[in-house]
Amino acid sequence: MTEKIYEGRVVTKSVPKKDALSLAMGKPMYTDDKDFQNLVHVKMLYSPHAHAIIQDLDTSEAEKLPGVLGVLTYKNSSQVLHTSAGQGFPEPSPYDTRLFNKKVKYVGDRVAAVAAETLKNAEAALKLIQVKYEILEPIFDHDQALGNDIVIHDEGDSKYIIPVFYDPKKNHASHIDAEVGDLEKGFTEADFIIEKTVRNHYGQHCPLEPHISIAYIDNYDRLVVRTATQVPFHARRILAQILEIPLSQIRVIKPRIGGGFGTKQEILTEPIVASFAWLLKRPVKFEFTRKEEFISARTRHPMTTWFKAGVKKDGTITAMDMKVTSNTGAFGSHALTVLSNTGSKTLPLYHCQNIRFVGDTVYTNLPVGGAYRGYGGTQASLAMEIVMDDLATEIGMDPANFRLMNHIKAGESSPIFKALGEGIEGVAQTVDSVGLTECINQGAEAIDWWNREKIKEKNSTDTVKRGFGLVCIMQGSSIPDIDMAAGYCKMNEDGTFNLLVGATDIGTGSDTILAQIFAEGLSLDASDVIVLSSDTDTTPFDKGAYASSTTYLTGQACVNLAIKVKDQLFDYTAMVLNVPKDELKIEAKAVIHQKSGKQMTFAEIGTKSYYSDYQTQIGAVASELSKKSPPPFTAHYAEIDVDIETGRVTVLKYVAAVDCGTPINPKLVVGQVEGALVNGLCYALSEQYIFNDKGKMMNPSFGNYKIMTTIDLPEIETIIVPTFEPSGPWGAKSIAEVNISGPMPVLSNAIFDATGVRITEPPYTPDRVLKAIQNHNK
Amino acid sequence: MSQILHVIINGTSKEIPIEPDELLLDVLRREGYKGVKRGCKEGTCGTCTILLNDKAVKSCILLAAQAKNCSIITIEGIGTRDNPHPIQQAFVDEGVVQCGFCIPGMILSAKNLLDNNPNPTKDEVKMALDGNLCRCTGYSGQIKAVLAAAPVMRGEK
Amino acid sequence: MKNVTEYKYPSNVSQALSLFSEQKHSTYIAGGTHLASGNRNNTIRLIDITRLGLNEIKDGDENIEVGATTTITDMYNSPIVKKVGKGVLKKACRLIGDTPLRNAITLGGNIARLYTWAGLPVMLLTLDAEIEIINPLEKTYSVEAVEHITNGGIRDGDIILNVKFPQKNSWFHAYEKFALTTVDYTWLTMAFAAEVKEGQITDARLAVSRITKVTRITPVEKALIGQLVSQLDLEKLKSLLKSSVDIVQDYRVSKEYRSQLLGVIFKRMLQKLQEETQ
Repeated sequence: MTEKIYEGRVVTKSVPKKDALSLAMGKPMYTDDKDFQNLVHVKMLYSPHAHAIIQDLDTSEAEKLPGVLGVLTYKNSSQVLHTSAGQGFPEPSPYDTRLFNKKVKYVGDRVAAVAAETLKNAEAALKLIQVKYEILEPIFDHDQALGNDIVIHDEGDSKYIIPVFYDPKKNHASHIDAEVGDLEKGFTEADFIIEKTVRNHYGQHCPLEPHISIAYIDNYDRLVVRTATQVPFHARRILAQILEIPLSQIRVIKPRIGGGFGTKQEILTEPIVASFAWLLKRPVKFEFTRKEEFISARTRHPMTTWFKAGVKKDGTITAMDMKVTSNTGAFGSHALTVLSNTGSKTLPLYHCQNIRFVGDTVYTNLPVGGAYRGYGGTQASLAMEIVMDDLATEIGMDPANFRLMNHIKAGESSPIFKALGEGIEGVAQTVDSVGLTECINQGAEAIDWWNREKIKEKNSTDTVKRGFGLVCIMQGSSIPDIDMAAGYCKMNEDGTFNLLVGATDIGTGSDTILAQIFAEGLSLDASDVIVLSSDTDTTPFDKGAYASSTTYLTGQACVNLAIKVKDQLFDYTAMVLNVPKDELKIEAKAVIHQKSGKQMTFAEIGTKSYYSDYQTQIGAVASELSKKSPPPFTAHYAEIDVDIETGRVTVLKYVAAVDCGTPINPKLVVGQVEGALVNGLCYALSEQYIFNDKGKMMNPSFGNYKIMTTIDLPEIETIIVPTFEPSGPWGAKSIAEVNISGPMPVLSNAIFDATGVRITEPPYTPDRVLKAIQNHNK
Repeated sequence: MSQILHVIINGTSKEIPIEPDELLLDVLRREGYKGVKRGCKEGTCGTCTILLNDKAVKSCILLAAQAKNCSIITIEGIGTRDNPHPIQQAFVDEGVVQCGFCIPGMILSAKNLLDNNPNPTKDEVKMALDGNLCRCTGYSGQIKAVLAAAPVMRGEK
Repeated sequence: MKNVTEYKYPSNVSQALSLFSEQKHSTYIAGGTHLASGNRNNTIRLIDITRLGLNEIKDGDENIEVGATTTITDMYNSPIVKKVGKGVLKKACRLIGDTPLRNAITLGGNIARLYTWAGLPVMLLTLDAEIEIINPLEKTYSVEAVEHITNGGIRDGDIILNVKFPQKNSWFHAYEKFALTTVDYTWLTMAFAAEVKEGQITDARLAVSRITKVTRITPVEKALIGQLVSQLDLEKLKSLLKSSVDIVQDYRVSKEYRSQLLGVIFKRMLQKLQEETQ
């Protein structure tokens, strides 16, 4: 059980986010807010065909246009095979693309990039590029892609650089299977078996700042890339790889970022500006339009998830069998790891010893999948939580009681942790902090779960039906045994500290969180810590902003830093005051020797260590490699109305009760919870890619790809259930991703509760819901 | 540049050379008002929101020429670090500035509301912010922040 | 907008008209929210009509007169506009775009071209509005809503001066915009008005847009006239409406669904009429 709860001095306090006021004042802090003289502008020509070979490509007319400075195509650009996925090295995604390919594989694939003096010049030049395509038959249905006669990656050279399954000749981008226990025995023991097939849809991250990169050559003739990225260090490495220039010649700077959610974990605009800047020796900018963001950036992998589970009358889950087909689109970005996470982020949630997971990722001629908050967990939770509800219904147990009985408890493990890692075998772990029981109970109270039948009866009419839903969700915190994060700190003469981290604040508030974690270790205030993040020249390595890892992993690196610095402060004070080191302690920004009453304030230590006594730089570097990935947990409840004549689903109230270990900054925790769950609500209710029969997205604009505004918002209540995670910084786990995965299943459960109709294919738009109701009534 | 645009930006009178087909957003950013953001350039996301003659409008779907002789307020014009506007302060205090990209537009929409309606209901706040997309916060906190700024602007806190 | 080289600021209507007469590739601009996004590619001259004093809202005995360059926000906030059709015009204004858009969009801009996603053309029809227009010869003329719709909006070179809305407060009014989210292009816009005397419908207006071009559904109106409100055959009226509307393609949502929606929304309007009549 988790008994200990950490009440901190700086952590667990909602200190103001470090950049909040500057951002609220509109300071020029983002990539595009710095003016460059002689800036070159880039526009991209995209394939209008889903599957075609470029037979002829003539850029001569475009190049002659006044103002045009260069055109890049497959003919004259880097031919290095790589992946655009900004992951650790060796990447667990297939090397299946070049900067430009002779064969285009989806509507939105790159054909040519034009660099010009003005955007207008570049746009005009695009129209002068002559391309002759040999149009090939495309394949769009991911359930038909495997082993199809149409082969998308038939060039013959794509490959993984890690030893995993890959068969591009069958459009097979990844395969995983894992089995623990005895599945057959498990199903034999079951009194009831439920199986469901669910399908989730394409979705886009929609950061309000589109992808943007500016590259320039500095005074040492090095390439500097100022870019909206979640992964500056991976970007540097991949740029060196693609451009074939030494890594030491590249500096990547991440300014403030206007949101990422996974799509900026992809190296998309950087190699284009870098290539042109290297050639032209001028600053070059490439910024996606909103349309490009939809058609050519990354998306959530659509999947077909088949899930079967058995249950005994007493509620014991006897077996779970999951089979996933994931659509990675034209390229295999995160194809393997999103797939493995569908299983690894869902199957450990409930007690069960007999589990099988089989997953396949396939190529299609549709937009490219990628990292997206939730990362597979979102997809599989839909199947998992629908089936859990149906199992509970089948045995006549309340869905809340069923989950209370079955969810993983502190001190327990799941065989899945070892069986499923990031595309390879995982790391065995016990979970030491689980607040899910409290989450379920407190959430139930907040939504009045136990009185729901009365509420439903009172509020339902002939045409509008009230319903309630519940789901539980887990995620992880970092990628164990793979990802490393580091920090560096130095003491200033006034006793403040600079904290330099590679961790990439993309709006999450990680600069503030890390300052709090570091400050807690030295009894500083968060305002005493000056944070600089994510510049590959000046900050230490960090894998970047993904996998729910910054608070947990970089946070622990900051705890380690504080420990090292504390030791140095004691050493120094002991030396200057001539007292025993082991009798020292820190209090109120001073090192105190209580026995003698002697003390040195941090400011004294800072000044003396610089100028007068045993001069030395107090400071340290520390890093962290996680050994486990403790899951955060959440219980989501929704109260909805379903209009059975129009199909409109209206969410009235939404409750999220979350266990993220120690909430380092409660207000920022709430921000992560509500941001994720509203994103999830939009994805469940109104976001969708609409393709025509040629594979072209018809609605690539905010006008037609709908995300909620304030006016559509339900009443939202967030409940933080603190626990203590022994392996985390001051007991913290992650919070960033877990809450995005609740809305899709919880609304299916609530619609079922309201109408008796089970919808397994979101989004729950009025037309789709009405159709499901009418099909059910047939 | 074929014409001169006279405008008053954040209280300062300006003569800005423009082309007749230039968007107000592009001109403002070129003039250094980088707090005016470009998120969609299709009139939907609201990150380019400014106050034009005290009304919140989206500068990405207005031509700069339309602003002739008008007063423009951008986010740069409403508060300083030492003396932030109450709405700016409320957004900071409520912890609802995440990536920050929507915030200038959001704050100016809120200012438009509170300048005209010092004591709005929650629904009125929601309506006033309905043209500003935010993908980070889920909006609730921002609505709360505007409601918290109202009494400060009324001089009650 | 790529050919625009001139932007003119006439200070009266007469100047605006002669600026247009001089240069045939001219376009009037008011709110400009649709224009700036770049549709009219051959325009050379833009003529700004927001400084002509056409933004007054006047309260008359029978009519409310709204100047053409009045913004939707000003209409929404106007206590005078609120009086039209028991508040139905105000409600329709509320459902246009979002706040910063409503601050820019004008009445004239919303009705001049009969875009099917626009909110107010159907309001013109059910409120029997009259549109006052001036042509390049400086001749002022009025058209009834029906005629305006039949004409396909205003002619090039003409300027809408104002719209006169009869208050029609003795009528029943309903207005619905159905869309995926509140701030979304409409899937179906419907306006309905009925005059009821002693439980009997004596006159009716029904208009829809987006689902088809902006249009009045006269067969349904005719079928309603003479009916007792308490004895309306809702299913029959629904069917009649569905068969009277030729639903256009919309890649976002099927014809089949929108046909059902058409019926449901109309049925609910009739039910509301029944409730209010009782």
